[in-house]
Amino acid sequence: MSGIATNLGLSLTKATTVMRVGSEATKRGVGVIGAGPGVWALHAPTLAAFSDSFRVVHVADAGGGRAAAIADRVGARSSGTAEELLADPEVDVVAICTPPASHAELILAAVAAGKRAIFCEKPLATSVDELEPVLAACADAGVALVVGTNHLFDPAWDRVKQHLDRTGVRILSVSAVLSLAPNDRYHALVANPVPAAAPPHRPPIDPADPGMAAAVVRQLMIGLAIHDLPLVRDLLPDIDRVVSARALAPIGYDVAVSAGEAFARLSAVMLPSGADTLWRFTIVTTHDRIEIDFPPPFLHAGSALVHVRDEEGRVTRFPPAAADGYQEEWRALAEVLDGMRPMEYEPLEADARFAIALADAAADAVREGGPR
Amino acid sequence: MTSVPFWTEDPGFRAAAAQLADRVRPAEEPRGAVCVVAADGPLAPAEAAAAGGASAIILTGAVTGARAVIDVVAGSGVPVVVHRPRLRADEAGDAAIDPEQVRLVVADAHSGPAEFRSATVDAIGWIRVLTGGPVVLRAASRSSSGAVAALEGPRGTPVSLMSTRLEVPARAAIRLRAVAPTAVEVDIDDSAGVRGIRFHSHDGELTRPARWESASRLTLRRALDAIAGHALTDLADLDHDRGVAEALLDSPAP
Repeated sequence: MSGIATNLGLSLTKATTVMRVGSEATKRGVGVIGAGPGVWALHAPTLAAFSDSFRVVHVADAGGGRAAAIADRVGARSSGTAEELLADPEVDVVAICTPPASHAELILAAVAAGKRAIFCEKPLATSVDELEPVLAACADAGVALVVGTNHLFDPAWDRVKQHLDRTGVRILSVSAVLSLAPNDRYHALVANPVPAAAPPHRPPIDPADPGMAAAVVRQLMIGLAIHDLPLVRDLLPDIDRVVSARALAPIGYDVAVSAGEAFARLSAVMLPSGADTLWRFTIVTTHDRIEIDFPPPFLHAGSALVHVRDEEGRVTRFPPAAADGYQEEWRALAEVLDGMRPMEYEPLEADARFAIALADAAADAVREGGPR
Repeated sequence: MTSVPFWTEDPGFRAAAAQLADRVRPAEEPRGAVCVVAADGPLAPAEAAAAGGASAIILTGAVTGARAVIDVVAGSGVPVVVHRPRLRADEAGDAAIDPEQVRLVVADAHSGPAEFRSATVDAIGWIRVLTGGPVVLRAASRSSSGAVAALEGPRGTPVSLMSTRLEVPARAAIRLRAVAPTAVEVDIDDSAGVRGIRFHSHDGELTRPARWESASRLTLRRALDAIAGHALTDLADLDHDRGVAEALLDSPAP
């Protein structure tokens, strides 16, 4: 036993046992904190697919009227504060879908309110100072906790890991490249529009301002690259140093790191218009190249597509699974609550520490002069 | 049309000459001929072509060939066409994109040890094409597995290059994407027999037609055009691409 279990003085076995004792087959009432377009487009339809396990009973959001609009459509109550939602006895499961800076505080509040399960949108925490009390609280209370790192839950990722285990190859390089189309293009394909708050004003990135660029890179690493950082950690857990880091216009990041003899590259650009989203995760091993093309965000288009190109140029395509990562993360929470899956806090801690450390190191590199 | 003498011992270029039989004829000596010189071969043929009055020189194997051969050819004063099958002039034209719109170029190369350097040089060449000009190395790291680099193109266009050296004798594969409202993707895989240039926009995907002309025939046609007065930048481009690769792969480790 090491890592979080040791740090928290908690046995993993104990945590697992707590979850199994809590098994039951009844529907859980879900309280959703946050009512942005992403919530309506993503979690409401996803939960509808798990209506045997979950039903949305309460939506809370501080933004004018959006919680009520969503709640009306799913037959739930609404309120203007998280406190009101957490006081609702019908809420068993709290879904935290607010901006990242509020996640840790809301998890602690949900645990304090006696809730039994939490689905937290990524990231779990934005700093180590936030992370440690959050995990301690959840472990002490035996709260089931799932972080919405949907790529980690994508069935294609399991298949890729099986391929890597079976072939026994060594990882030489990893790349996550994103070219993002506007989100509302995909919101409109999975839900009717709901009133959206005006987006926060973001001044254009000034490359001559290292402080601004560093802040942008850190925020994007924690909030966007976080989709893929658990996958990077799975493959290259020991990052040595940041080789280069920079903010990109109009908004994005480009970060390269070394991990022993291997490298990883994380690049993303958000574009105001143009081509569909490209979300490609590439692994080059001693013997082959594995490409994972994730569908654009918010969609339920099945799992990612995987192509393996071997040393002789043969390309193998893995058949996609019908389920996607968004569905699988909720299924995972249901399985933990049903005692079908152990609650493991260690990987959550390791993923969060990895992401925070990488985001901090990338921001430092930008602050100190960007590419170097 | 007057046929031009053509001097080569390269079977691929002999075939190309046969496919341009109305424009070229075999020559007995370099004088007055378009000459094929292998940069990855001995120096003597290069000297014979350069000093022997060639009308133009086609340089093969130049991506990783000897600098001495390239220098001799460059000093000949005649048009020099660099034969680069992974970076064909027609495909480079097909991939043309407005560099002002490019927000990022992401380039990946991977190959077995034998082709690692040539794949890296050609990837840098494609970066130059997509950014619209020379690139500058800003940061890099390398290891036994390959190299990763942050570069900048003209107008500060950011470029990320990752070149990976497989442990098996795999042939080279290069993939690049210029991220823009209309993005372009270049996909070249020698083992898989893939060559593709695709544009991605809000309207969907446009794949450029395959270029079926052999790379040798294309290079020979370009040499004939050069004799007729078409300007070339092949040697300067080669010098750039090799120079950036040398800075990435050969400079003291950071």
